[in-house]
Amino acid sequence: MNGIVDAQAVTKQYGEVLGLNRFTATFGPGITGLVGPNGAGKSTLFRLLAGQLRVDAGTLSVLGRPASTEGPFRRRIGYCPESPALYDWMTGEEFVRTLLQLDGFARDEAAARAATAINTVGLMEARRRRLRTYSKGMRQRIKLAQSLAHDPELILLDEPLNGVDPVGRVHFLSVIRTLARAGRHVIVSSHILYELERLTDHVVLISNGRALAQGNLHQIRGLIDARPHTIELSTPDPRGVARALSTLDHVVAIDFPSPGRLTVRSRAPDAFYQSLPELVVREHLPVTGVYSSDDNLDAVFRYLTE
Amino acid sequence: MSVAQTLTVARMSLKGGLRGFRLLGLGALAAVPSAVVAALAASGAGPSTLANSTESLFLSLTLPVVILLLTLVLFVAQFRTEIEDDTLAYLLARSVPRTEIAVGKYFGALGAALAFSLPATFIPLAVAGAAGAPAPLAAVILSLGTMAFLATMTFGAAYCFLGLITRSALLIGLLVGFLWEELVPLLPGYAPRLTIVFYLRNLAALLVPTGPLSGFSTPYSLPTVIAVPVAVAIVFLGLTAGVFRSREVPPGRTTA
Amino acid sequence: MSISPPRYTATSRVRRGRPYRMLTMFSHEFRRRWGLATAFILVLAYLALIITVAIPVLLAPPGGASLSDFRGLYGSPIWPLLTLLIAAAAGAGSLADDLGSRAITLYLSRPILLLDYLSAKAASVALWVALVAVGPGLVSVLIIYLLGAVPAATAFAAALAFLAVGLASTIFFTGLSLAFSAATSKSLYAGAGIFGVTLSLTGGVAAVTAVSSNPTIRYLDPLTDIQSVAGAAFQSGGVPATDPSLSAILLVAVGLVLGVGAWLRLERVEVVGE
Repeated sequence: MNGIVDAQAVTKQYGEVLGLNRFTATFGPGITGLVGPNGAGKSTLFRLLAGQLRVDAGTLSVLGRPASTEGPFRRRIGYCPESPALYDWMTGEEFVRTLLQLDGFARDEAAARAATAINTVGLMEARRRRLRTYSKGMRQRIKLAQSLAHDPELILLDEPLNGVDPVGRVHFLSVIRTLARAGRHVIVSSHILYELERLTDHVVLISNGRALAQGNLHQIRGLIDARPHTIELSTPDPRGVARALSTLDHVVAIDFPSPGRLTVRSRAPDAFYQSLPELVVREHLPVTGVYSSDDNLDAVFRYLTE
Repeated sequence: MSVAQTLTVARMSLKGGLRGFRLLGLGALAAVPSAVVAALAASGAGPSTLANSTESLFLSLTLPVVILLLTLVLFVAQFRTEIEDDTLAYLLARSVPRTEIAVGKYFGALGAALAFSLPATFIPLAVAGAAGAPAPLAAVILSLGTMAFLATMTFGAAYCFLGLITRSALLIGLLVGFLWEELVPLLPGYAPRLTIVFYLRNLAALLVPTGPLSGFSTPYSLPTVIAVPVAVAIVFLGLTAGVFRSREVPPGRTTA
Repeated sequence: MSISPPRYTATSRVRRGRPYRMLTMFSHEFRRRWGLATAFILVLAYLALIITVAIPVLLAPPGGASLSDFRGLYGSPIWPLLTLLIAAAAGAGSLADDLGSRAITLYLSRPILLLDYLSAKAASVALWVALVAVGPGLVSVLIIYLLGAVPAATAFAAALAFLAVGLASTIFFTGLSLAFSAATSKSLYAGAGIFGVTLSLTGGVAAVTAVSSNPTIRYLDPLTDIQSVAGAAFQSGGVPATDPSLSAILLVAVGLVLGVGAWLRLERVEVVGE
């Protein structure tokens, strides 16, 4: 138990629904990505880390203290929830300042810190506007501002890139990197793996409330790549296409799931995608569709859970 | 308990309660007794009739309808709206203990509710005075003010608790306010003593020697009729803080 | 990932008509309001109101019960409170909840007219209100008739009277609920508004009529209007506080105008996403 966050067999239930199921993982210093599909338990883990839920079983420590610790300890943690809800009747500045005052900062200092945080997320021009007028991207920014305004050691960002436009994403990622460079620890969740690839090498994969894998993203990718990659092709001549594909070394299996379709399993997906167009042109193969169900995160999780 | 943090929460609740559509709606509701007194004056009521009617109006309209609905809206919303809107996460993520949040929210809502209920109580007296009614006795003013304050404080604490524990806070609040507090006082025997209105009316009877407010015989002393609503408020506030401390905030409806 | 060219095939174009869609919305809205609170109000309403109606009729000397003995329901303080409670329970959130959750955009993105949407919601609210405003009266008549306390003709007349008074009340309270529900995205405010307007009018009018000789003011109180209509429908005699016909017209007209108000308000609503 020497990580920034240590979870040992953490279980959390909502009635009969299992939010986390013996979740075990260690989140180290710097930026760690928490990746999982919708409903995997990411928000539940964040709420546990933020002390808003209590674990039913197992142990969860944050910065060396139990996650449920109340009081001044909370100042060491910044939390940006996934929900887009805000106090819509407040201005952006008022929102961040008030939350800082709740952390015990005097009004003047809270105002100064709020201004700095709002400037960091690029909302200075909109800081005096009511939150109800903010776009989804602006809401994400002001949520980020309130989570870092009190200069916490650990920042929990639950799906912070949802609804942020491409330019905003670049800015967001840059802010997160700057925080990490300044010695802050950041845990950031997403259900899109490539988003986090741009931010960190350290990820924890979560699905159905369990940690499936954790560590270096490239190692995890290697683990995935060690398993055959499934590609589905549609063609009016499945047998002819199968005959041509069988000449490729990395193709390990071909199935015919339905008329006009065939499923190819390859140990080298990159090589397969390079060879396929060449083969189609050279052999005049009547391929009308290529579907790679393995491109989405669900497929990754299927590999790891199979 | 950190007073500064509690005051920040209270300020948030107070500002949240006095805004937008809610401000207009509650303002209109609070203006009803004054409008009725103005209508009474316009319909030619004599000075003493106007004074008596204004006092009676407090017992028949201001207390059981206006103050009850004002407190229902403002206090139920303290937790219920935040739970439904999923904004409670921001408060709970800060270093302010939950007891301070509960107490701050209660006092913020109390401030907002008094900003409506006290004018709803006193402006009709001023309207009646402007229309020629004799100035009310100091005891009448004291009695009405105390009743309005105690009612806001006690019903508010109960509604704050309801807003925290149930999604049906509106209905249960209306049931408590309009069935229990309106109909149980009509029952014989000891049953009326189970209502807050009983103690408030008795408070008026103890303070005011004559007029519509004096029309209740009371078995209790002044300290008792004040202590009971205060105790009820403290119990509900304690329950609210206790439940809120042990309550979890699962991801809300807006969270995937 | 897919690089397959799109293929289009003709899908079934068989669609059910407007009544079917309205019925779907109505049934969804009606079931949505069913819960512990509404069930409690219904149980309380049927128990309390049946007893209120039945006692004067059953206590009348044998063969002596008349139509006017059924009127007790509308004189009781419980009936208006329970009707208001069910109007708040079923009506306050009917439009406000959809506005708050932005579900209204899902409805209106379908081939559904705003009028259909509002009509379905109104029908659901009206049915809930009628369950308290009309139901207990009709059930009481049936029970009393089955007990043999009144002849069939009296029972039939009483049932018609309950229907007439109950329907006028239902239209009024449905319109009031829809108007408040359309005005806000929070059912809490709408529910308080329904109670606030009705009871403020009742309390205010009662205070003013105590000193004023102008009887027109009484028309402003919906509960007085309902009592007047009930007095005429049950032939209870005495001088009614208001003209029953005019009161009935007022209740229905105000209910309809409030419903139109809700429609106008919804037409102007722009549901902005986050």
